Amino acid sequence: MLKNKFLHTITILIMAFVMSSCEKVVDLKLEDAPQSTVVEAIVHDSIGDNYVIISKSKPFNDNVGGFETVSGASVVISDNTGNSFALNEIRSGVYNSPSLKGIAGRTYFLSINADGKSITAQSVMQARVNLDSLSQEKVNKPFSSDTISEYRIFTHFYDTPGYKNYYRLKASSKTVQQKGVLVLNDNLIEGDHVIFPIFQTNFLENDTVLVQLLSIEEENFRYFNALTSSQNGEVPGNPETNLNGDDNVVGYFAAYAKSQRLYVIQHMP
Amino acid sequence: MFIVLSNYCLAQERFTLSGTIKDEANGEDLIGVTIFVKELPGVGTVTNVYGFYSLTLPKGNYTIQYSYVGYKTIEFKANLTQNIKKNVQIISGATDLAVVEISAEREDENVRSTEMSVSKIDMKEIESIPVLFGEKDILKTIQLLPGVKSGGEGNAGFFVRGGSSDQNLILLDEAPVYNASHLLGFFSVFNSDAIKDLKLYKGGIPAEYGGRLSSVMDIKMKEGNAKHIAVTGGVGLISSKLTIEAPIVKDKGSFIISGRRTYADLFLKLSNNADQRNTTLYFYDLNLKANYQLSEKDRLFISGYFGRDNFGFADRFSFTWGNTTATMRWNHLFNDKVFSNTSFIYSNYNYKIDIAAAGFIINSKIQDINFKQDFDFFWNENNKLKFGGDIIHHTFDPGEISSSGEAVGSTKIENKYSVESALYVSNEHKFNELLSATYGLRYSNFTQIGPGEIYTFDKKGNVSDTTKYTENNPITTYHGFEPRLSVNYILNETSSIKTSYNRMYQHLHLLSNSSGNNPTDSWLPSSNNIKPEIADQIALGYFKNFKDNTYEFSIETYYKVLQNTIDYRTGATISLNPTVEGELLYGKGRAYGLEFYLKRGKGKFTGWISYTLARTEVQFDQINKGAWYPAKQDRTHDVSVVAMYSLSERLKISSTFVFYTGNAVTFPTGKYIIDGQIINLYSARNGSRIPNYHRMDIGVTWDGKNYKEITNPETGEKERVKRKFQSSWNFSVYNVYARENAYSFTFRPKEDSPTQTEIIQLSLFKIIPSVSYNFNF
Repeated sequence: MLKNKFLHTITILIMAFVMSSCEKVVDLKLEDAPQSTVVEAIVHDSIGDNYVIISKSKPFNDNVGGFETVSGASVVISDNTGNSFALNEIRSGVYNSPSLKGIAGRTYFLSINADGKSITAQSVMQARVNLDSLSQEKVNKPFSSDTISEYRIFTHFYDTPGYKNYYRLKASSKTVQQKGVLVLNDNLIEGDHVIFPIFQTNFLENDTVLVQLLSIEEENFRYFNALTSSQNGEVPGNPETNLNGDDNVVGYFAAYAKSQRLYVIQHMP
Repeated sequence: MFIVLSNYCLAQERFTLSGTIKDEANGEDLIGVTIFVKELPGVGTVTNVYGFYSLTLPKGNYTIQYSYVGYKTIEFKANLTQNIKKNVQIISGATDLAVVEISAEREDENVRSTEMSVSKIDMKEIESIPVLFGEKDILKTIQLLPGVKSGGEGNAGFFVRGGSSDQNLILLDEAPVYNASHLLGFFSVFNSDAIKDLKLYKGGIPAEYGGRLSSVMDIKMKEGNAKHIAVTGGVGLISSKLTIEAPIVKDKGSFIISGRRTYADLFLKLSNNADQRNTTLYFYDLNLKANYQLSEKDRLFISGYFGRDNFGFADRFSFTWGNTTATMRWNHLFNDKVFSNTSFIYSNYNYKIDIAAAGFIINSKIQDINFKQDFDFFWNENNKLKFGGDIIHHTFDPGEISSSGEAVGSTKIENKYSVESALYVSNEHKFNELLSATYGLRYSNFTQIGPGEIYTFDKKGNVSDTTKYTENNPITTYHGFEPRLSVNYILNETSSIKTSYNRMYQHLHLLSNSSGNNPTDSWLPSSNNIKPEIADQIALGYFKNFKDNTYEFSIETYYKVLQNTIDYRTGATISLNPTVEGELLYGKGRAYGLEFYLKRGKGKFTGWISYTLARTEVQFDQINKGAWYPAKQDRTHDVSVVAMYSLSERLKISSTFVFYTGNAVTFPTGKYIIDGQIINLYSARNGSRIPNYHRMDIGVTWDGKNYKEITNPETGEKERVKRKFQSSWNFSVYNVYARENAYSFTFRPKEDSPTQTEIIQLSLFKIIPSVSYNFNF
């Protein structure tokens, strides 16, 4: 009896060691910084498939309401062969051109005039790499007692040999949003037939998942890499943006060559 | 420097008195024993790290005193008409336990020596200082001294005078230790039962050391008892240890073997939770050393350290890391004035992550092979010359992934190789009774060698060019001179002023993605892209002892300028990145501060107060628009108070209190939306502060009945005799008032409401009681 009690006490003490770490939600007074303009602009290599979203940042501790959008901006995308497209505001802060289609090898120029600020950026459309097929795997969850099966999607594609490729992978279903951003370079897969998992996001049985393989520029790869690791706190800071014009601008402009497929998650025993 | 030669040319006959000094009880060499000449005030010397001394005097009759605090002073009448060899064994006089021995040196050594900015730890002293889990730890204790700042909870790294934690050269029997922490920093790798002596140079670093900017921590292992078998051990709540020492041949050679293992995970097996039962979490380490006197003039030492941490989950995941060091040394006396030491040193640090569940293994290591030659030339009573050199071959293996699965291909980031070498000369010179100086010069050279692919980068950090080099082909070479100077001027019997200057080069740079030391941090050599980091430091200090050396007081100030300081681009990828050099930015730094230290070393009540007021700033063109900003280890205030009180002969209580300004960190100031997800918006790098840290610990040491009284049959008086078996209990409480000090902050979207955000504070230890039992016989 006494021995048991002793062991129990020791166990508690050890728990104190292994688990004594304590997490709690705190209020922390943070510095106030000037509001930033946020630009998220993508041109795809299919017609009308483009958008420019302009919004504003807000203080970190402000949890009331949504984010301010920027309406009434003048947004123009042009290319290095002399074409120019003025984008229409289709929703508050969201701009689109129904006639713009990105073409591989061309350089695209973004020009925004909003709130009296001028913002510019450029990006080169890459050659498309085809998403050949998709497969799935049941997720092994050793640390969880959850009984609902979750599935992970694998993308199959052929990395163009002799060329520095950079990719962004997107996957979402009606019910599941992708967690984080997934970008990769071909350092480990140069010229390979690649089977690469979309590892951050799991799906459920019968989900219809839209998967996109985007061929992107190195600059955009670095941007998302920096964005991801800065959020984890490794080297916190705003990632270097390709948007020019104002100190208080964050976000990116990118031309993406897109290959996409739909996939329905099957039951696996 | 060679002006001093003129002193030497006086036409008087001179002879040399030399020998070694050992502890009578166990035969350990004694470092820093003072040797005085009664007839010549101010003339004397101290023993070197192998216990050797040599003193050259004019022909004559002298009374020589061998003096070491805590030991009985011995006198020897020397009739110096020829060279004399005198080996001495001195007897520990510490029978009165009520007096806590605070220093193993001459009482006013702090005032007299040319050394400044040096922190020492007496192994006896640390026994009574309360520590986490009752595991006494030299690395944690040294952080209670001025100018040495703790890396924080869960971090064995430390910051010296504004330097980052990779700027400390940690030597264990001359072998560099690349990762000095166990269990993610909760313990250091140094088992205090196997350690004899520790010295930390914060400034005025002697020319024999080089390779790191901020400090040198020189740790010597015990040699082992040369008289008889001795066993020391301890049983604690989460770890136990055992040390055995014995003579190989009495008074000619001895060995020591010391082991330690934690068993926190054994208790996890008792848990009802399957996840905890399946978790492995422990470390062990082993210290070994042997020495043998080959002849009157030759002595051989072999020492080694092996330690490993294991963290795992069932058979799905394992993560192990550790250091291995080995040193072989040969002491040789060329004559009674020239002492030589030759060392072969091996050091390896590696880690391995095995993710069986995903089918891949990651391996990484750094390995050194080092040859070193040092000479001590005991020139005359006023000059002690040291010179020598070393050459190190470094192998860096940043990482290899071997995969059995299909998801990730096997890959290897190329090894990097380099050769680091140095030559030095240094002289300890006594100009007169009041003025003495140690001055020296070190020449260091660093060559990056092939084979390897060498990248050059454009301004944004993208690869702009690649060149291939073949094996042993030199790629880039850096070299430079490092002057060192330290001067002591004695004002009067109890006070002195000292000043020092040193220049240091650092060719190895630690890539760390946290302010702490992670097992996966990797070292990167200087290269075509990375220039050596350079530091120049000047320091000035005033030293004063009061009340017959009961109180020691010092105040020191320093100013340090750093060149080629390294920081990362925002959002850099650091681990397993072949082009990591493109993620680095180069700038400059400056650090300055004021250090106060007051210590009471005698009596029932002992302890010290140390306070540091400091600033450390860096400047990079690409960060914070080129403005100077605080380095993460910038600490405005840092206070430590250590108090120990002997309640009775057997009962000692102690307490420590620490307070310091929180690290400079980058906190978000705002947030915005990208791709439908909340992203943190930052303003200035290191523009915020973690809340101040403070904590108090208490400890009680209760000695067993270590003495017995017997009646002397001749005199009839009662005498105290030390028992063979000595033991003590140690109780301690860490963080008595349960302060929740912040380890980290996470800024994240709320789980139940992803459009809103919250701030999570992680604190590690609230209040930790512990108990341990220690013994020796």
